Amino acid sequence: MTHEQLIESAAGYALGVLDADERSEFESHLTGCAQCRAEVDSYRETVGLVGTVAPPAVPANSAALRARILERASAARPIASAPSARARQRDSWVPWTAAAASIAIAAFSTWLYASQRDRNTRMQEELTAARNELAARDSALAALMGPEVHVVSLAQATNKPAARVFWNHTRNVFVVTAHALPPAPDGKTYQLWAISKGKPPVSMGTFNPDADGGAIVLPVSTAVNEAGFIDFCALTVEPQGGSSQPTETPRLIGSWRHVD
Amino acid sequence: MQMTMLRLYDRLGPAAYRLAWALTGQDQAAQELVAGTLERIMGDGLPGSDAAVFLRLCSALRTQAGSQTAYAQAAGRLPERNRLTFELAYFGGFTVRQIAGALGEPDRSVMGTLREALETLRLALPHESKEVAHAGARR
Repeated sequence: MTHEQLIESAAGYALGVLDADERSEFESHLTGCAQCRAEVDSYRETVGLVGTVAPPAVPANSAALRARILERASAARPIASAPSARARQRDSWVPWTAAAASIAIAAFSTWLYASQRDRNTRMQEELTAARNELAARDSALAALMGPEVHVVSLAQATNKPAARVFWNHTRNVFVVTAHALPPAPDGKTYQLWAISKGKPPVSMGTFNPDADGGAIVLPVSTAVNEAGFIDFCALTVEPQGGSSQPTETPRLIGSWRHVD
Repeated sequence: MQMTMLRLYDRLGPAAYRLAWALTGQDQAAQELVAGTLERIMGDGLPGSDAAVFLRLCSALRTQAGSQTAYAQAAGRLPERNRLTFELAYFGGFTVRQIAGALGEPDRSVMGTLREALETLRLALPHESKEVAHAGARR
């Protein structure tokens, strides 16, 4: 494709929505085209601006929202229809024995339906939990890929890096990977902080690494966006639920001034 | 209905919530908006692809939300087609090809629309948000 055709892809590239073949072709062109690089930088800046007013928000209580949707779906489910007036008249001569049998059948049907519904609900919940876990891993992987990702290592003075923070500025997503990070003590959690010089630290979220130090995706809060440039990221151990400000000297710290 | 709605929520709920939050700026309002909108579009019957469903969600969310937030006001400056194309990309994370399929347009047309949308948003976003550097490195 010509430069004139390829430069049309700059906005899609900055948004991270080109398909793999288009992205590959555009990136090949990008290395030798200063004009396209400038276009991409400009669009990325705009995407970043959008991120300040439309951050990747998540529900304060995802389970509650899911329950609310389940409740609405249940309410909308057509379970039975009211009998017509003619049907009621016709039923007036039905013998008591038939009525009793109908009640018994209805009761059994209701029990069977409720039982089946409960089983279905449990299966749905298990399936959803697995899907959510998979989606979280996909999200972390997607946020780690691409040229728009910066990374900072959080280290102690003498040891190898024990955590890394990846920042995908196009998606405005932070991903934390832990390496040999010991589990937080009982009743405690790790908390990541954004530190801008001259300002109080802003919480970037809490997490607890799994046994393998798996990736943790942190949604970016509005407070982090409002913090402005971040000079450092620091990791502390805080009471469960996190603290509004760090309560201990950072165990790990890394500078964003010299990013990869 | 329950299963279908939950599947729909699991696939598209997080993106829908993010857009709803951008339009309302409040967690509870965004949750209510997402739940109500999902119910509404389920009642209308679902089109084929996820991108096509999310397209309908974007339209419905905008119809039911106000225009008080900075994002709602900036996006309100976009023509409908440009806004929907941008929201499919930015919030939905759908690729150009998926968006083109949902809109019934060529890929090139979608790319041109995204370009126009970003250029309009650059001018439409409030001045103060331009001074808020996005979190991260000094580049």
